[in-house]
Amino acid sequence: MDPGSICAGELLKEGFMPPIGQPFSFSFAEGGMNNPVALLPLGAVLAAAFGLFLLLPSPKGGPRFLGYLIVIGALVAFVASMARGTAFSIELLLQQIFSAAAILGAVFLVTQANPARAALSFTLVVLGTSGLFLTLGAPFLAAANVIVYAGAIIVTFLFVLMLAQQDGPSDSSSRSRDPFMASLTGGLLLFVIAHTVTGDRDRFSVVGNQSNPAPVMPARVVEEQSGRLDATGRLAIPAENTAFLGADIYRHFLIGVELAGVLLVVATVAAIVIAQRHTANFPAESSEVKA
Amino acid sequence: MIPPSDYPGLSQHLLVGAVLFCLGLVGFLARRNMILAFLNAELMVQGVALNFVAFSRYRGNLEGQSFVLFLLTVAACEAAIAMALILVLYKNRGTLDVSVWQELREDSLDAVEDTDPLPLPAAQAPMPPLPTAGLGPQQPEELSRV
Repeated sequence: MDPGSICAGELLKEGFMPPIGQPFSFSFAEGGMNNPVALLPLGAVLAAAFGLFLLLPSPKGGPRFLGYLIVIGALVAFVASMARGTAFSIELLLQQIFSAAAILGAVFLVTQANPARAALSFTLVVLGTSGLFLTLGAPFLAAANVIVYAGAIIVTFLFVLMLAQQDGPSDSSSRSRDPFMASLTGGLLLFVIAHTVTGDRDRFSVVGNQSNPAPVMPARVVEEQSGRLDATGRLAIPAENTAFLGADIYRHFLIGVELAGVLLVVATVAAIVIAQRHTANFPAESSEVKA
Repeated sequence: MIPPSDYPGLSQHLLVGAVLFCLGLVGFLARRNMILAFLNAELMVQGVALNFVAFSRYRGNLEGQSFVLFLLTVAACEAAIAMALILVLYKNRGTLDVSVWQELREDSLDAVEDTDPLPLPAAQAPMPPLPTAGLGPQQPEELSRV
């Protein structure tokens, strides 16, 4: 069985994915607006956004303690809700720990006034997502994520921060631009995404629900995938992650690999050209300046 | 027949990805430090990568993981270029604040002015008193003489 043989086009052709172009219906009909329970997630998300607003750096200084209280409460509620409806397992516990670490690091990254501390807390995000990659059966990507992000990108950015760091409060680190509108935007977007992913009435719901079951896989796909179930009845993915990933990339995305190589070379050259001192390139011009 | 909803973790992973993405959006919109704005964009990329890997696990194939591999490559290129651009901008104006570049805004928008004064830097604790260099503290005279 070829692990990567199901492509999105075939799934669309066989009616597995919802066809594009259908009108998107989003409504709180069926008693949604009148039902306070249905609006509870919206209230929770907006409260968390307000906590984030209190935490964003501002020269006036707000009740940061209250902000931390709200955000930590929202995080605990979110992580606890991940366990709802499933039996306890080590996998679930690891998933909760890594998710909490990633989200906590993200909150620190957004709200820390000190840029160096913010950059270091991005490392926590990277470690959290890498742990989630591990629980999702992607050990190669977990390692690559840590190496590329924590090992290369963060270190280079800390280097630039060291060159450009100013002591004490400054316009760039102690002020925010429209913090209220920014956190409101983020909260509303999060609510819409969460409603789409888990909503009961949305027919674009990815995971399906009682009133609107998820689409059934076409018979050909099911036949190809039968016999690849693991002990829990889920689709198995190859344990030899790196070998199969390499085979998958070179079999299906060969041109993409070549283009990625070209992109890396171009980006290296471009970074050198952009960052160097341009006066050294034009000796005639610089001599004019001297004269 | 395998109903996709049998995989319990998918919606949780998608939600974690969405939270990371939205936090990155808030940071990108609100923070004024150019390096932090870029790091927040990387945070959004992390959320998207998490979605890809979760779908890869859910579909039972490796296409999502392949996509994340390309995504890492592009993110590395992007970091190099962004670093070079930020260095050039910093050399021009001497600050990482994006608001010094607000003359690039549209005509219809008003300039943003900072009205609140910055907080004073935290007062440094007084240094411990030390004897002046070259003058040692008074030593008791030695009793034994030769």
